Parts: sequence; structure tokens; C-alpha cells
Amino acid sequence: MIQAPGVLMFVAWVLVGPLTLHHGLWLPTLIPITALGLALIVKRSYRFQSITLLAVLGVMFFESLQSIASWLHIELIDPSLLEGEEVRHLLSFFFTLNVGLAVVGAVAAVCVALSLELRKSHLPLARLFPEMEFQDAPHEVTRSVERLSTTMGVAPPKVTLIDSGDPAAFITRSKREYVLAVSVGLLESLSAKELDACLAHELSHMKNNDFSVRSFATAAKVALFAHPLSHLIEPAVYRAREFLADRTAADLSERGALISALSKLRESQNYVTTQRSIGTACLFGSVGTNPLSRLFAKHPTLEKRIRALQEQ
Amino acid sequence: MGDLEAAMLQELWKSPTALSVREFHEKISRSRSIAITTVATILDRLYRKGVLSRKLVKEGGPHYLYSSRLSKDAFRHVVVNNVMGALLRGFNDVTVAYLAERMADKPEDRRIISKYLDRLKREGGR
Repeated sequence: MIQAPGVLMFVAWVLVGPLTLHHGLWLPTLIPITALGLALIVKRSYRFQSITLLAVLGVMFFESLQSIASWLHIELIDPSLLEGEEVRHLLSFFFTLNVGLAVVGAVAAVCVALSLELRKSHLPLARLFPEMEFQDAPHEVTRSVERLSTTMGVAPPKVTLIDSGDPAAFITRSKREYVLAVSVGLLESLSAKELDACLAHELSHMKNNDFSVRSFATAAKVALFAHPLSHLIEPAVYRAREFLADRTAADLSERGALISALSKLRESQNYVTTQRSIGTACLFGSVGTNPLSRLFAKHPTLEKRIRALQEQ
Repeated sequence: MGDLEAAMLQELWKSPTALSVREFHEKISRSRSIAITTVATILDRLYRKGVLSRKLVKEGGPHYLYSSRLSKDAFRHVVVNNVMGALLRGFNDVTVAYLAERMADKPEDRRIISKYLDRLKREGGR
């Protein structure tokens, strides 16, 4: 079965590759990158997909620096002056300056993006989600999270209860610590096994270091904001990590319970497609019905997640 | 208001006590196939619209007990008021003509409307 992230990476490479022709990089890397693209298209490994997509963002980033430097170079230096020692020194100076400026600009963009991400993780929950009300989580849920965290080999996050009837759960960083939030609606709708599977999905984001992967993808997108492909690759990285979290959760809890929970949530999500709900904003992702909005969505559809779990 | 929302309210008016999501689901799923998550979502929407009130109970696992803020009659008045108010504001002449045509066919409706018209005339003459 064809894997969308592989196709995306392949298209990205075909479009970005020719930019490297001027320094002869494209042809020598064509064969390994094509092989990697083809492997991605047919192989279902979400970790492999997301890391390769990040690598493509890195290549695009490098190429953008080269392009900016070349562009500035041509604009600043008249080719008819390319004679004599002094001119060559001047050319070398401008080239270094341009590359330097481009690097400083790009590094600054990445730093701004990362610091914004970091700043978010320092805010209290009430500031991060002002539309929600939080309470202390019940002991049963805290105990389940501790048990699952031990199984998964991660430090147990703080657990909190969202005062909402809409079924939802999410994990985030607040005040420098991980916080797992579950809504009353989720607790009253799912069985104990289904709830465990959902909690395991959220803890998998911690286990798989998804917060760092997502931050890098977002930082690369910010640095490459003018490149349309970066706006497609960033959400593709997010979606691959969602599939990966499902797979990790299914391996460590009960696959059937996760499928059952997602099936229940799919029905209620279909019912509220026109209504923004906290559930669609968090655990299960707000995914539009048209194919274009799915390209930019950071969560895969629940149908695709259920199918992926069933096919494993 | 959707069909499912109306069904939830009917169940609530039939019940002498406040109901939990699981109790709602048990009652509603007797007549149709519906996921409990959908029941939870609909009840949460009705609460946010101000139609229902709820109390968070922590014993036996956190859950809400939902009750109606309005009696069945009061609710009917509010709905008719909202719908007709919107229609009369947007399409005054068409709405009045439509009602007049519908009522002309039924003697019982004619009697109700004459009674209201008489009352309006009396109040206007004061």
C-alpha cells in the first residue's frame, strides 16, 4: 500500500533537487534519495517516515541558504568586475558576508520558533487553554497513568481533569512538566480498558519524544516559511507521529481496546463536524472533510488511524 | 435543535431524577444505535446552550448528572418564541400570510387566532 509521506518526500526531492545542480549535489544524491523515497512509499514505518521528512526539511533548509547566498552574490557583484586580486577579495568578502547573514537569519528564525515553543511549555495550563476549566484528577486515573508510565519506561506526568462533558484527552507541557489532561466526558464514556488505551496513546507521545520532533518540524517550517512544501511536510511529520503513538500504545496496551475507543470517538466526531469541540481540538484532531484540508491537518482522520491499527 | 437533542430532552422530562451519560445511553440505545461518546457530546452541547444544568459527582468515578433547566411547556414556549421571532423579524409578511393560510383550513386554529386578535384589539384600544 502506498504511504502518503513517502510520496510527499519524493515530490519534495524532485522539486528541491534541481536547486542543488549548481554545485553538483543533485546527481550524486539522486540514486540514494530516490531509493529512500521508494522505500518510504512502500514501507510503513512511522518513525522512519517522520525522521526522513525532517531530513528533507534539513536539505531544503540548506538549499535555501545556498540560493539566498547565490542570489545576493549576483545582485551585489557585477560579473564584468570579476578580474584582479582586489575584486576577488571583495567577492569572497561579500560571499562570506551573504552566507553569514543567511545563516544568522535562519538560525534566528529557528531560535525564535524554538523559544516560542519553549515559552508555551512554561505557561500554566489555564493560560495555555483559557477556554477550559481544570480540576484535580481522580485517584483511579492517576494510578492508571502511573502504572502505564512504569510499563512504558517514562516518568509519570501530572494528571488533571478537564471539567467538560466532551470526550477528550491530551498531553502537553506546562510549567516545565508534562501534564496529561482527561475530560469528564471521556471518563464517563469509555470502559476501563478503552481508557487505558487512550492514556497509553498520550504517554506514547512522551516515550517517542514527539514534543522535540514536533518542535524541530515547526522550527524548520518557520525558517522555511516561504517554501510551500515546508507547510505540507510539517503536518505530515505530526501525522506520522500520531500513527506511531497509536502503534506504541497498541503494543503496550490492548489493540482491540484502542480500536474500540477510536471507533466510539469517530461516531461522536462525525456528529459534531460542524461544531468545534475540545475533543476535536486535542486528542483526536480537528480534520476537515475535504482532501485539501487533510493535507494540512496535524492529525490523521480517525478512519485512517483505525484502519492502520486493524492492518498491523 | 437536532433529532437526537430532542430525544435526550424527552428522556429527561420522563425521568423523575437527574440522569448520567450512561443512563441516557441505556435509554436512548433502546430505540436507536448510538455510541455513548455521541450521547456525552450532545449533552455537553445542550449544557453549553443553557438548556441543561449539570452537577459533577466524583463518587464512583467522575461523572455529571444532567437535569433540564426548563419544564416541557416552558421549553416549547422558548423554542416557538425563538423560531417565530426570527421568522417574523426576517420575513414578516410571508410568515404572517403562511400562518393565515394554514389556519384558514382548520376551525380550531381559526378560533384560537380570533381569540388572540380580539385580545390584541382590546389591549390596543386601552
